[in-house]
Amino acid sequence: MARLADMLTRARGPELGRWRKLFWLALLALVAANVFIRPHHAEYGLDAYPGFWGIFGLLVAVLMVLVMKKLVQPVLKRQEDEDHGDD
Amino acid sequence: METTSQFLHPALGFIALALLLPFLRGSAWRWLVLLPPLAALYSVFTMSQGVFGQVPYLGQILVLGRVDKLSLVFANVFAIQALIGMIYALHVKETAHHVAASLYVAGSFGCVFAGDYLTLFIFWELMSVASTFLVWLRRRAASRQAGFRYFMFHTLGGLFLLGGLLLRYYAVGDFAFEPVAPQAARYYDYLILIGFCVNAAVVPLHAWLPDTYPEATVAGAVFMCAFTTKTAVYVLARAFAGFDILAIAGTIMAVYGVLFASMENNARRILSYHIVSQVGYMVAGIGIGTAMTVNGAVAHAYAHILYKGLLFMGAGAILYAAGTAKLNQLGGLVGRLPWVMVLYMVGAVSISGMPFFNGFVSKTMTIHGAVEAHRLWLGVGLEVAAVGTFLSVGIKLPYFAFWSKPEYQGELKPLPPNMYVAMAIAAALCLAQGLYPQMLYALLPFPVEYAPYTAWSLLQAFMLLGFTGLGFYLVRRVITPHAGRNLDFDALYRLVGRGVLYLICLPMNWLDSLWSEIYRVLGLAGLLGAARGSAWFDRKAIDTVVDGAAYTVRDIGRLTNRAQTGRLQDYLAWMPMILFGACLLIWWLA
Repeated sequence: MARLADMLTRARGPELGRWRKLFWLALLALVAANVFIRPHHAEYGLDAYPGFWGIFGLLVAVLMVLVMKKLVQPVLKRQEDEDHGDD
Repeated sequence: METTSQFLHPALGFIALALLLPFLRGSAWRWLVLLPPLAALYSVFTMSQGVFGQVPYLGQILVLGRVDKLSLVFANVFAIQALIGMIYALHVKETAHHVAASLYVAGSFGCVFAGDYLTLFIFWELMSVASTFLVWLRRRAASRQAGFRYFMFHTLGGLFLLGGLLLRYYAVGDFAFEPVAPQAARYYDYLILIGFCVNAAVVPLHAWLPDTYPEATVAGAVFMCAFTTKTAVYVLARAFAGFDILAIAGTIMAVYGVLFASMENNARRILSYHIVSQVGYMVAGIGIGTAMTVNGAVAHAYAHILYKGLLFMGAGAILYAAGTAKLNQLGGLVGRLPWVMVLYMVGAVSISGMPFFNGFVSKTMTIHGAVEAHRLWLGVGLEVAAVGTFLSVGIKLPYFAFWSKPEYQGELKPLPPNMYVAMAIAAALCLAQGLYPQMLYALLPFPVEYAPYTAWSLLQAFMLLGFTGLGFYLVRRVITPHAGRNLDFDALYRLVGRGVLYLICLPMNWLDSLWSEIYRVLGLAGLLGAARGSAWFDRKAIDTVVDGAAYTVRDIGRLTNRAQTGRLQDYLAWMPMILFGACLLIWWLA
């Protein structure tokens, strides 16, 4: 338990920069691989272009967060009261 | 060939346990809770297909055991999850909790093997009552109120089902629970469909789910996240495959759930919204109705029960240890609960459809089936939901609970080892099914013509997930959760509820004041006269007779006083027992 905790704590502390670099490299490698590995037939049309699913994931994630947190939540948010306070 | 056609109803062990537990003392009984799931596992794995357990009742034949591929695959995962849930709940000292969980699981098995609507309805209601107690047993004000809302909403859903099945009986003369052809569906079929949709948490009938599950007990939520919605998925797959409205509704659910989860703060509520979303995939698959999508829906239900249970166990472990599941109060738990994080992450990548975990082999099947059926927009909706799932459950929740700074400084209650054991079993199954999809595919109702692992499908999945991660990195300051509760359709339900209450109270008030007036004018004069007469009689009457009667009345009063606590929870607990007794009596007399 202690060894695992150690390893994970280091990963979010001193080794964070290394992991982040690895993440950028992995994303690059995925797009590069997409140039060679293509779907048999493009199901949606646009997915014929390399990197489509990367852009799709990135755009959907960013838009979802911006719209929901900045536009929707201010309208729907209520203070938690005695009736609805959970733990 | 006696042994090849055996059917031991898996619900029996759970009902027996529920009846036995209240009479047991000490603590050794706790190991008993593992027996019914083990018996159910044995029963499910040795069961042969056919129709069993036909009971004549009031001129009808109740079919308790319809066993075919569809009911078997659900029973299979229910038995596994019941075992995992019972292991997770092993440390719970409260007998009532185990009784409620057992009856709830028994209800699920009853529904899955029910061959007619009457049997289905009985077990359907048993599930509803028993699961309500898994909420109330958390014994907080918020849980009590959420439990009442939950029960009322499910009663409403049950009434739709009851109304539909009775009208159907009136029209066609039987209670047969069989597939309905979409073009032949009548109004009563749609009533039944609405009843099913309540339990499947189809938007906008879904709000009970994220309202209630975060208020359930730590172990209770693990049971609840598995059985109610997936029993509903089973009955939808059984009766309403190919209903196009379900294809649309399911895709809306899939997207709606992830949108609400992306702004939620409570870990268990995030997971609850993702039940709505994941069940959306199943409802959509059933609605599209091809062999591939129905297979996908069933496979996804199977996988979902395992990884969602695992996620709720992980979030429950945080709640148990830290006393809160609110992300804005947590952070940096990884150093103190490393194994909880690792096991949680197995569930998180499974639900996100990461290759080599079970969500991947089931989710892609549904999406692929949707595209193959030329439902491109549904496919796009389901891909959007996949991005949102990884964003909230795969990154946001674990990031703000285990990873972010500042660290949670409060005390952590040590976790009982059985919690780790249950989580480890679920994690192992999620991984095993991802690595050997045949484990899952062999159980599906239709032959599987789908290979999940191709170079392209792997690349597509990793690209989608990887760049979702990049998206999170870019907006991580915006997505930071804050305290507060977001309005959902439950606010609308409450508004309607208050309106109905007002409409009922208005004429009642008027009637009450009218009655008071009549009583004041007419009743009082008569009463005074009667009092004079009785005073005279009292003086003349024999005291002992009166006293004897008074004692009797007092004793009866004491007895009724003890039974009538005035707490609706108690009455609700009595109801299934009295109902069960009444049914037995009728059966015995008839």
